Amino acid sequence: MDITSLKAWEMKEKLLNKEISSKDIVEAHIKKIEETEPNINAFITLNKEEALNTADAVDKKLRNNEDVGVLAGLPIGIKDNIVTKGMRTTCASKMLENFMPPYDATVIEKIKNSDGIIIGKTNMDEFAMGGSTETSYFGATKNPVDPNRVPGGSSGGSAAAVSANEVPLALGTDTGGSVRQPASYCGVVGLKPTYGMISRYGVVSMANTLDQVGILGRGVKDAVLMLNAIAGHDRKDSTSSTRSNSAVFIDNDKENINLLEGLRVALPKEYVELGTSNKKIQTLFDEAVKVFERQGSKIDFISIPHLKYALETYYIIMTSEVSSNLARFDGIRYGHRAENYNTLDELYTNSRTEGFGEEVKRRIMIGTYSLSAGYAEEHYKKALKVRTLIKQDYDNAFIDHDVILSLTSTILPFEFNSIINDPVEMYKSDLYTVPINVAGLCSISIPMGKVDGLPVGLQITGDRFMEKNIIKAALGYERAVL
Amino acid sequence: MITKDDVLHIADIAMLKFTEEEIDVFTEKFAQVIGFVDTIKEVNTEDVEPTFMVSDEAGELKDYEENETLLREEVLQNTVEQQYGYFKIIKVVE
Repeated sequence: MDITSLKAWEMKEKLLNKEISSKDIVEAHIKKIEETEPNINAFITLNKEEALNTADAVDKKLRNNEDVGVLAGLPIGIKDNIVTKGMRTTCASKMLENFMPPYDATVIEKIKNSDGIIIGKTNMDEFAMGGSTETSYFGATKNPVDPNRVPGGSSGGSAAAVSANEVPLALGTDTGGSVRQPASYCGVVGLKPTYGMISRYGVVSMANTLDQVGILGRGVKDAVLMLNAIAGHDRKDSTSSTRSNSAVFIDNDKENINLLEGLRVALPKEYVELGTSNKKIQTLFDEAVKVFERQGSKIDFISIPHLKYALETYYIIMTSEVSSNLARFDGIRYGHRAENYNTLDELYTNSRTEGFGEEVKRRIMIGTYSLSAGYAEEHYKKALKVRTLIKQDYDNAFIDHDVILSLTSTILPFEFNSIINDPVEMYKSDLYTVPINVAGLCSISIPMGKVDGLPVGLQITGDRFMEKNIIKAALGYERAVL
Repeated sequence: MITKDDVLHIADIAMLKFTEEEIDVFTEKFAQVIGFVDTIKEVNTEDVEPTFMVSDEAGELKDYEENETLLREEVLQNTVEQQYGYFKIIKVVE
């Protein structure tokens, strides 16, 4: 039996039945990582020794018949913008190349308290800015499905590690699709919970009103396992919600129950009009909708009128927040400090100019421009008002519907260094994931088949704090097609 | 019309330096942002309140309580230069 090909919940079951030990699980994954990493480069930092020690501790608990946590014995990959005490956290940037956090993020504390085993820090686009993991200071990650192609991004390392069986579960972060799009490209499940569902304490902010920690796994049930471990209100994060404490993720997990029956499914007509130029992707989506229909879901066409402004709105808000959040990197307290400077201002400017990569600097500049005197009202404030309208559109859609179905991305994972020449297609490729963050909704991408041998994701979106609806739909679909 | 001086001014605020070529690219990028702004300008937002945060919960007040904080050594462990238990920078006041 190859332990690494099991689902997380299967590993846990075998562990609790004493068929395998936690040490067996960790050793099998370390072996897999050693074989796979030279070709994939999903990790920036590995934590093998500590992982084996933690596995021993979990095994000891089990031998003594002590209670173990929900993630007992499971090796977990953590995106490298989530701080881990005593374990380098780089954000895939030269700026934080040697940053050693003195504390754990709340999600890391929760994983440790649940007996999960952190096996390493995964690669990403620098400061989570990008959709291909090509902007990492530590080199690009390759897509395990086809190593000539990108894994998506920015959580490309986490998605690739899960897809290549290097870990059963990983954490990512999602600001405009950075968990769902790489999940789609690597053929795994990617869950972005509602804004406020998971604490952001210790998560390096990119755009703080859009960022949310997300989960990558090889099945819906595995993602839910992790969600149960890390969700919940945190007093250290004033934007985390008390509503997250009472959220129920699965009402009924009996395998013989048809979870799709009576589900109220909405299809935004704006997406239908937009479509994708790839007919094969469209066909897969149409078939997925038919699965819901056959299983007794009620399909409705709806309108999200302000959807067509979502990308522009996102772009203005995101870059503005980026410029503000990345102002903390000044070369004084942590991060890269330039060697040559004559004044304090030069210390700041030279450290930032040397420490940040091209894409990061580009977004800081655009955000600074949007927030600069004379433009803030016209650019940033206007975008925030349109955000209200987009949010209201979704609020209306969810009055009579449980979930919205769409593609995750309109394009297939592309080859390295390939510039997508069709600007319209590039624009459309983000249009399905970005509005979800603007409105703070929950959303999950699950595999719905392959086109030309490459994975394609189905995106299921739900109202704020209604994770149970998207999980129900995703589990129901997964069971119907498997 | 966005001038080179405008871009230099923004770079100054953002505390970043660029080569001549990079500055030229930004004049184009900024023009693109203005295009985005023009697109959303057509939306009628009269009487619409801005959404800073999607959450409708008011922030909560914390009771005052003593908490453990990071140790001084932990706070200083990531700086490049330190002296007498402080971050060291260059002399800014004569």
